[in-house]
Amino acid sequence: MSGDGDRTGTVPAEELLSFAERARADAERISVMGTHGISMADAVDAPEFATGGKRKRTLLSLRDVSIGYEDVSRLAVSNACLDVAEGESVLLLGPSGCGKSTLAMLCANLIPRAVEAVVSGEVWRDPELASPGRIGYVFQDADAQFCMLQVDDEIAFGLENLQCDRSAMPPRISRGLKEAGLSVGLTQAHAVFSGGMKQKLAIASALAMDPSLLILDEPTANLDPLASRQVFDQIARLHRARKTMIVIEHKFDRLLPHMDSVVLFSATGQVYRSGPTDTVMEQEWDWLVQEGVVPPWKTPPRRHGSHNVQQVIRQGARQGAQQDVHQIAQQVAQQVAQQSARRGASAADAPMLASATSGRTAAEESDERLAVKRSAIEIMDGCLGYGDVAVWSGLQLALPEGSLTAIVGPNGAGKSSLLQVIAGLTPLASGRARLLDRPIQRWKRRELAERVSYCFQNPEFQFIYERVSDELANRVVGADTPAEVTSLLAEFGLAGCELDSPFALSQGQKRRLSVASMLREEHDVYLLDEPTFGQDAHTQQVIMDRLTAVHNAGKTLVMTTHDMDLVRRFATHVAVIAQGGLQFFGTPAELLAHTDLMRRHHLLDDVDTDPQSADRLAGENAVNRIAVAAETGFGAQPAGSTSAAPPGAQAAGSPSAAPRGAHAAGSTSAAPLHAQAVGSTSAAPGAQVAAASARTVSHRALRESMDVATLSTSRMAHVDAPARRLNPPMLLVTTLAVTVAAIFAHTILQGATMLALPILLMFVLAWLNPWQVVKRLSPFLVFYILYIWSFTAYAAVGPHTPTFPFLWMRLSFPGFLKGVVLALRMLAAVGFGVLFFSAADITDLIVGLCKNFRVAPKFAYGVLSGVRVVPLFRSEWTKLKQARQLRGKDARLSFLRPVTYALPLLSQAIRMSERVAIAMEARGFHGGPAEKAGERTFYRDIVIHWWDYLFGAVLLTVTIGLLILV
Amino acid sequence: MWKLRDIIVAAILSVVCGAIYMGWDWITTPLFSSAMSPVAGALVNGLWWIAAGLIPYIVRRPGAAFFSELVSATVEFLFGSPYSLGAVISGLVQGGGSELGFSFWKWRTYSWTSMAVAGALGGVGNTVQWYFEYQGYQYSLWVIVGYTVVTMISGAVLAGVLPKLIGDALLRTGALRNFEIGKQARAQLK
Repeated sequence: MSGDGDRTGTVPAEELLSFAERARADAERISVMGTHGISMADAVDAPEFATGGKRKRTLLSLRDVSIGYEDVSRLAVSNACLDVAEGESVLLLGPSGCGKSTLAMLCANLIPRAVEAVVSGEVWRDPELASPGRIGYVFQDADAQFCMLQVDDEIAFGLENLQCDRSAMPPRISRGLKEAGLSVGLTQAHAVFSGGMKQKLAIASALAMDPSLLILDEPTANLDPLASRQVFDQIARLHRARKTMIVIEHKFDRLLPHMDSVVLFSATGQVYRSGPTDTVMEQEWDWLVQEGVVPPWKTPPRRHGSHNVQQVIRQGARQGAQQDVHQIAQQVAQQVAQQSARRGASAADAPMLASATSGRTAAEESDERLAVKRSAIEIMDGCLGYGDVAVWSGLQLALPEGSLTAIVGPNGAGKSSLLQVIAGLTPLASGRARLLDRPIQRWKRRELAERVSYCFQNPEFQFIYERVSDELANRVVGADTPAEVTSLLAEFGLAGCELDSPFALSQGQKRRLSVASMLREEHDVYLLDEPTFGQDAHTQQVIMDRLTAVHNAGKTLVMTTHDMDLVRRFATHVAVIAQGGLQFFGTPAELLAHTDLMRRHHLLDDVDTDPQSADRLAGENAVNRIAVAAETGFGAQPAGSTSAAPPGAQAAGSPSAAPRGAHAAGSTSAAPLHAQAVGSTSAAPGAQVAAASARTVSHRALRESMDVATLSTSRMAHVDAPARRLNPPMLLVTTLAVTVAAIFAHTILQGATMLALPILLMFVLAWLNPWQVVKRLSPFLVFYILYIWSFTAYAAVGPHTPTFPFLWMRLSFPGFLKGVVLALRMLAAVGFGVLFFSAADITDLIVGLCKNFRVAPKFAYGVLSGVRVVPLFRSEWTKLKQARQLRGKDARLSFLRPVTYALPLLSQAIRMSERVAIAMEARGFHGGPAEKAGERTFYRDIVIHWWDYLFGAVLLTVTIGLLILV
Repeated sequence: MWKLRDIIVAAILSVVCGAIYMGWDWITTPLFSSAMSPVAGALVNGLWWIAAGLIPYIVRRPGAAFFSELVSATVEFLFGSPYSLGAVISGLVQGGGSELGFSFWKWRTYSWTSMAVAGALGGVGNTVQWYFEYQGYQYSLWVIVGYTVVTMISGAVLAGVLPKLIGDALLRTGALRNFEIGKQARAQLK
């Protein structure tokens, strides 16, 4: 039954309504959506098409469909059948790599159009789904499904593909945002959004296209619990609005009440079972555990007579003060024991069961340890910050030797940063940190690499070698794999992969390999950044078993995680990092007793089912708003003012964050947003916390917005300056032409004139002040001095010119003059360049090239999507650098560094570009709208005016005229 | 025929290359061009059109060299290259040179030879720009000849051989399975 207390309604009335709807739906249910695997003998839920009553229209029907990829011998999906009726939501479940996504992409017609594959069987789609954009698709990688830079452009991209009229776009954009529950400014750069906001934007982009079917392919796979919750609530809302949906999701607990039917996939890509959610989940729970879809310690949903462990904890905790912690722990242990017994604990369950029952003593045990053991890691009054923004401060932490500490808290709170501090990768801004009785900064890098082991969230960063066996042996072993490597491979389920490239493994395999290679050598301290994140139950089990073994050997382990189940079962200590500081440190049992604390920091979001969503929703909205306000605020400097660009940006001659101010001024200004946010803070108690976590979002936002500003909205010309009204592609052509013409400047006077021209235009057209001009041009002066030198030393001179010998060079005055001319000319080119990007926005440039110059949209928008990923690369590069340092390999292979860095970065870039391409096609970017500029509409109104031609002609004439006259 | 994923991989890799070019601009000039002779400086030139070797090697489409070199040079300009708009012009001539090289084999062969020739021809494009825009004609004849030869060799190595090595290593990572390079490699195996 779906309508128990296990729901997340926002408005009671709505709730009731949906109850009624669901009740009716249940009564009417005639298994319109029956799905089965023909090949399975026990497929009992054969499709029963409407036999009476109201019949729902089938939108999509697959019969005996098999899908195979060209170079893989095994079929990704075999003999699948699926029917999706209008208004129905279907959940696809199965172990990772079982072909769920493949099937979903077939449903969306992305296979075989965007992804090549061999498909057999019958696929029938309602004609309604045939035209582009009728099937919305939301992917798991929030970063890889966007191709524009701003919120409104992003949503409009899909509408342009539908050839929606330009005037009809703004209302559809706002409607999409509203339906997706995202309140942000239209011209915000979405690169600074949190993961949850990005997924909401992806949903908004899909909804704006008004799809008849919405497919969500693991939308929360990369999100933290709070963000996942937001997305789940959104799915629940869409379900209430009777949107037809296909959902793939591993963290499905919260979704079950909103899913009408479930399709179970076996590991081999066959449909094992399908049917109404309640029945299937009730009957097939054991199968799900067995297949590794759900971890064995998980409680079946809504099974009569069984209680959710978390609920027990909460109930216990709610009774609060009078209840003893140990009592609760005991209760939990009993619950787990009973449930496991009921299920018939398998061999694999045994160690876990033991650790769960010993949970009763977890607190006592660690109390003893606290008393006896000395600290392996100590941080005293630690403060960490980026620039002026503090991530956390006043941190006081002592982790005893032999402890297994879990660090929990919301995303962006600085959990990973804490690990990096411990590993000596990031220095504290103030305070002291000690590791193994020595201040961290006193450790030599090589020594540290021997004592400390670090496991990064992205396993690829740790790979140095090109073969799995080399990676595990930490040296090139050639064809004969050492025995210990072979046994490790077998233990981690990697046997047979010896000669493969580590990068070619599946996500689960990569994670296992990185853990295996980290555990290969003995260390004293093990630091793990989300070791089980995004792994299926089986991989989680393998990893945690190994970590438990290391822990039992008396080593100190610290890991960050979002998984409270994991904390409860394995950790001896837990630290909560949130709101800029340490909120709690103690045993898991103690933390579990602090329900208020856990709720405050969203630690229960994965499992919490209390109907307090109204509060929290208000809080979340506040988070969104504040995050955006913060983001806007960072850029919101008075337009035209000199910005406080970091020195690096100056040196690069790149315009800094200032131009954002123009956007902020032009659209939603930061101040009212702030006011709103403050308003809701006082309104809802939950919002205060939200405001705090918004702060943590903001420090990331600050760093990233600077990156984005460099490329996206780099205009620093005054908002009202005439340069802003020039057509960007035309301006590029004009400035290029003038730069070419300037090549003919041969005297110093001519060179100076060529330089004066762009500087004059910067004042007149872009309204830049002299200081801005000097700041833009000065970094280049150093560079050109070198050019002058080069000419002074090497220019060919006549036989009678006096030269001065210097080392092996012959310096000459005419050479010097030639050098000055060249330097002036190059500076003039820089001047025209600055003029160009003080006036033009990169989106305008590329869209303009497409709209005005008829460049094929797929090339234009393809380039834009490439430009979008720049900020991502920066952060990846930093992480990669740190991972290399920790392998202790960096020094030895320093001359090879670019090469060993290139592979992980490039292979990631390539994989990402594939995903971006698929996501763009999923939004209707294929056929006419992608091939021909004339077959799409444009959201941005970029036109070539008469003054663009005039400006080009005049500027070129003046340049040539000056060259002749001067 | 260009597929969308070819274009996007070309764009993303070009952006990466553009960032590399920008770094190269600032690093190499002080190190080589000025302290030693322009001929020594020419040794490092080839890296500036590595995109025109790497990306055609992966996507194997006509126009890949020109397109990606133009994009990466424009990105270099947007990042704040000291060559400014001159970088965009470089992209046009270097990419054009490499493209000419691949056209000799009708964009079908991506062997060591074709890669090296394309890289060397990119160097010819580079030299033309150097001669006119950066006043190469001001130097003595031996400097000009030396510069041209060294640039072509540099191009053949850094924009021909090196990208082929990188491309082959990437192929082994499995990331290129769905691209033309992966398909041709599989076809060869059969």
